[in-house]
Amino acid sequence: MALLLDMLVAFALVATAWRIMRSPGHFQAVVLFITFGLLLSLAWARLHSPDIALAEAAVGAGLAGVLLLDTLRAVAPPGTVKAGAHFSWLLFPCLLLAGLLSLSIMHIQPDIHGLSRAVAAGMQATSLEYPVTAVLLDFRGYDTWLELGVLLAAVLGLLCVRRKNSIRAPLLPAPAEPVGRWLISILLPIIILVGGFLLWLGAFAPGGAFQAGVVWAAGGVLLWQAGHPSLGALPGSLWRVSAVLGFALFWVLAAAALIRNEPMLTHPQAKGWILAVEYAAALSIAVCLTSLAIGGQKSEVRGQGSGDR
Amino acid sequence: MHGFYIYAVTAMLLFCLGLFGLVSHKNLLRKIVALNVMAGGVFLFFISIANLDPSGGVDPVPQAMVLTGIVVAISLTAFALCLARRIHEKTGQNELDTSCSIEGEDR
Repeated sequence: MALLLDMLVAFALVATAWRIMRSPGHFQAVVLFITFGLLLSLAWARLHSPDIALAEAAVGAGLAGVLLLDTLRAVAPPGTVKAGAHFSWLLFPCLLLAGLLSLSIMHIQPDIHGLSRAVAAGMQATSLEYPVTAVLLDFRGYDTWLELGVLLAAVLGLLCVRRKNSIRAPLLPAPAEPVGRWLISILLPIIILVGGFLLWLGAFAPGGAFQAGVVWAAGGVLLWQAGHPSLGALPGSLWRVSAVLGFALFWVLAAAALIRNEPMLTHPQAKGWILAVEYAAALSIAVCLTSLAIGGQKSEVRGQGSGDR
Repeated sequence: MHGFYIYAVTAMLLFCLGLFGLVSHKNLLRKIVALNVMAGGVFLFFISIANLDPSGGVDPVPQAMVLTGIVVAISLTAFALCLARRIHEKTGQNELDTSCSIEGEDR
């Protein structure tokens, strides 16, 4: 039964990917990509990785879908879409590559020892109880630090390309959307609660900074889509500080360890420290992802509007 | 064990289908979507290997890395989409045509 389910998910994934590549319409491809994200999160659940399933459902299917649909609307207005797919001989080398890679899979030793033993040995030294969160924030803090740096760099790059110095400026005045505002007044409290719960859960169960951050970012995007003025009314300094907070806190941690003459990013084994870093990281991820979704478009729309007038 | 082979082969197919989309489409938006499918394939392979752990659990290190990778992939997507928009604003096209470079702007 489990085997059948796995095969069904795998087949659906490959078939959706094939349709994404071959469908003639761009809109169709984007909608299929959102479906692909949901199927992928089903696969993560089948592979016993609930953390990734949560993040994938929010990011891969939700946020990426919003970004793609919004860009599609801006660059290719409906009705002007040309047929984009034509059969290409390039499929054959790609299928050959897939065959070769699949052959190489057969040579993977089934009894490989990953790093789970090392993590289990290190768990006594950390104050966290859930291994994935411990790896993210304690054992491999470097990855998380630089990942926050990548997010920050993407936001800065977006601002440079758009030639803006503030994300929030073009949010005002917010358009009046009664249905959206009614919906957001119901959904936003739930989103904030779910994000906070995931963040709190991260210390000892699946959940944590990433999942909470992406759920909150989804809330931020919803706020913007519903035309609620609250995002635009936030002071710009608050926006900037919360975008940098996670990265900065890791920086302080690294600098403090250097001063105390210890290896980089080691920190006092107090739960408070780790939780502070985790909460700051969640906030930064939420603000940066929201900025990435908002930052790319709004000024252009208004720029066109003011140009028309 | 069968689950590993199913998902690992699926991951390879996804990667190569994404690669096919990346090289066969001219439209930048479609290229970005294809890039995301490729990333999905890589993540899937990583996690299917993490499931091979003999202790019966799932190796937490690849899980943490894929979580990091998902956030990096969405940053990349957002920035790439922003660049694609900028290209569309500047040239009115959704694709990078190598023949209409600087000479095209002089005209």
